[in-house]
Amino acid sequence: MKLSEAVVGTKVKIVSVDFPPELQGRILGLGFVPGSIVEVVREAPFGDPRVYTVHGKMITLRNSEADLIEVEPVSKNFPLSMAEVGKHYIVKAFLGGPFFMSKMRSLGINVGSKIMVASKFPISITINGKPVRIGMGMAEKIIVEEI
Amino acid sequence: MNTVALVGNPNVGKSSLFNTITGARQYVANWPGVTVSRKEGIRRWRGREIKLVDLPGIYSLGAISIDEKITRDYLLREAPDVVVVIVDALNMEQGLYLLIEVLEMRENVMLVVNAIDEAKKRGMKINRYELEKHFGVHVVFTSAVTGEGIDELLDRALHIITTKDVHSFVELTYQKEIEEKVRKIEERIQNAKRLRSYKPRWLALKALEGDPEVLELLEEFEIPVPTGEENKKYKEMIAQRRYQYIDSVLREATTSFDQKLSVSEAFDHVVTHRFLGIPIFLAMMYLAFTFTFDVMSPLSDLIDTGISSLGEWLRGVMGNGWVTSLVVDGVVSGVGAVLVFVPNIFGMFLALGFMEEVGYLPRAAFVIDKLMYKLKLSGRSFMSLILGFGCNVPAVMSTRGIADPRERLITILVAPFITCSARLPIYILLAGIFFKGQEAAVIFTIYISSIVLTAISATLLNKILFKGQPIPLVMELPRYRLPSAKNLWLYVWERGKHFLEKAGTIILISSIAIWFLGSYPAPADKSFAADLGKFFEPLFRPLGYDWRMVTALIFGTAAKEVVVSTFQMMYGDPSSVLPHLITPPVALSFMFFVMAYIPCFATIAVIKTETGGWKWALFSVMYSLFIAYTVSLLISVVGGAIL
Repeated sequence: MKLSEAVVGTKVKIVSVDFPPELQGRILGLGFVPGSIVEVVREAPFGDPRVYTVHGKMITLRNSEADLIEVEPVSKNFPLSMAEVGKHYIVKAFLGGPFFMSKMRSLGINVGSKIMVASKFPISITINGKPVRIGMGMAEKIIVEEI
Repeated sequence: MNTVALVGNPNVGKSSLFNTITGARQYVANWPGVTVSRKEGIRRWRGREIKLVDLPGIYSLGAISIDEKITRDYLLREAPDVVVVIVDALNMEQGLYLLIEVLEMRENVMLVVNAIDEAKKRGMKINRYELEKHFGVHVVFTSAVTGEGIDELLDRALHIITTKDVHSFVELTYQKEIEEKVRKIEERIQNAKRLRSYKPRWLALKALEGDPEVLELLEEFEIPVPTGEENKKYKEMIAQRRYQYIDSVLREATTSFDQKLSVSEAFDHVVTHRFLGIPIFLAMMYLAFTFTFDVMSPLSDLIDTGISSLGEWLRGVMGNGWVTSLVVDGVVSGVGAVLVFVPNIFGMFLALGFMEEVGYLPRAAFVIDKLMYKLKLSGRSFMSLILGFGCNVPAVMSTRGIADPRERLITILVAPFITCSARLPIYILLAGIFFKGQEAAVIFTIYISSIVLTAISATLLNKILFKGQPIPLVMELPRYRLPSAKNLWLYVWERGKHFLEKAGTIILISSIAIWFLGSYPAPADKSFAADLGKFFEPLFRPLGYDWRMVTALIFGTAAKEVVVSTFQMMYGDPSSVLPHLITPPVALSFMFFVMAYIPCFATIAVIKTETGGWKWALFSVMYSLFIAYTVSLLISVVGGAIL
């Protein structure tokens, strides 16, 4: 996975850093080295650039630059959009605002709900045996943990 | 005299420490890249003179951006007696990385952990002896704010100078593969006499990292070195090992503390919000302008009254005669015309300084980066450009921190379109006459237009000169900081002072020159100045400018404030004369002309120095003249047609 694909609010671990030589030194110096943990803090208007915390510093990177950093997820919690088909998950948190929350409640999805991913693209889940279709944008705001 | 060099990441309080130690007044900004070249100061300590050198803030000792090169070359060639590496107590990692790099290059190093007061406030404990043990250097805790630890810093530095005791030297051991390669290269280096001034281990490590300067050096001695993909791999491994080491040391040396700053978080959440970010940025700017005009104008009026009475009084005392005219109509009204705007200019610096001081400007750069990206620039050049609102000279100079040479050149070339404080007086004068009650809105429009013009120019130049490749943005968002009154005052004074100095020098001289040119041969409309204005007037006829306005534009190339001085001298009382001569659209067109045309002499000179020749300086002059003429013509014609 590329760093630019990691969802806001999650933590990832760097696998490799592949910048052109003139920038590589500075990027490594800032602490973007293999093995380091990066937190995706927030994104600017239009979703680009984004702020990351690495070794205690907040650094901005454009998505085109974050593309050059290969990462893997560390936290057990990740967005539903990254879940795998056929596996069971428990809902841990929501990243959306009040509208999103009421939408979730109306679908019967709450923190603690147990779900199963039935298919992807589009995502469809089963909750209490009932199938529910979920948009990709919504799936990014539902944080789950595998059971 | 002994030399002590200060090295550290940007924004760790290096310049603050430098000021505290030397008593110098160097403005300290809350964004990376303030020190664009090194600054020196002298401190007498225990009977010795110590020269302190403040080097630009950097993250690594590569030789890519000019900042990095300045620091690295200084450490390599000037051989300071002590190198002080400064790290931020709340965020030591990146600073310690630099410490490791410096230690590989030189041995007379000590570590300063700054902002210790903030760490204490948050209940963070740092074990100094662990740091000393694992990095093998003397460690001092300081606070530039409270002054804590400064004496000890000087004592330790003196101790290193006199006894050469650098604590114990600890060498970081890398992975086996790296160490083997290092050993091989080191062996070859031992045989090359001319390389003995460098530490062989440093050369070997840099060679593995693929440092172009070192590779070239070693190739001269036919020492085989790794290349390409190998360099890449080693560089990553070396950096990884350094951070591993730092992490393990910090685990022992520090207690964890509450990393999340709720206030800072909440603030960031709002000002860099996806939807609110840009409106907030515009609102902040507008607020700054309202402050500059509305809040400060009573003060301006006061000065205006003072200057007029001074003129009247002088006329009464000195009687009529050419000397009186020179003093009153030349010096007092010429320099006075500019001095009237001192409160506005100080007001603007206060507003800008506040935003910078708090740490908002890097956030603003972050918020509008997407737009800058479209222009093939980055938020980093935005930070240079915004300095241009004060004066274009520091804006052009601050581009030294930009790593990419293309981005740097473009930033230099478009910087003069950012309307500096010297152009403000003419806007205020004309807006006050022609757009009464809407001054702030009109001037805000000009400022926004100046930004748009800068943007269009950047895209255009990028397309023409570089075929439009994008430029990366890697920028640190510093912690929010409560502005200190002292620092804020320094900011305002450092910049405002420049304006006062100009009033006393170039504007004074120009005023006298313009008075002579405008008075001889008499009468005024047959004078040299009139000849000059009238000679060029046909060129400006399509724009609707009066010959006196043309004269003012010509004199204004010396310094743009001179446009106002010239107006004052040629029209006597512009507010009653001008409305009969030109229409509001022409006045607006003139404001735009002043905004865009030829950078002043000082800016042209600094463009020449920074780009290394006349080529780009002349280009800038021609290009800006062309733009100014086109835009102003458009406004005069379209505005005239509508009215």
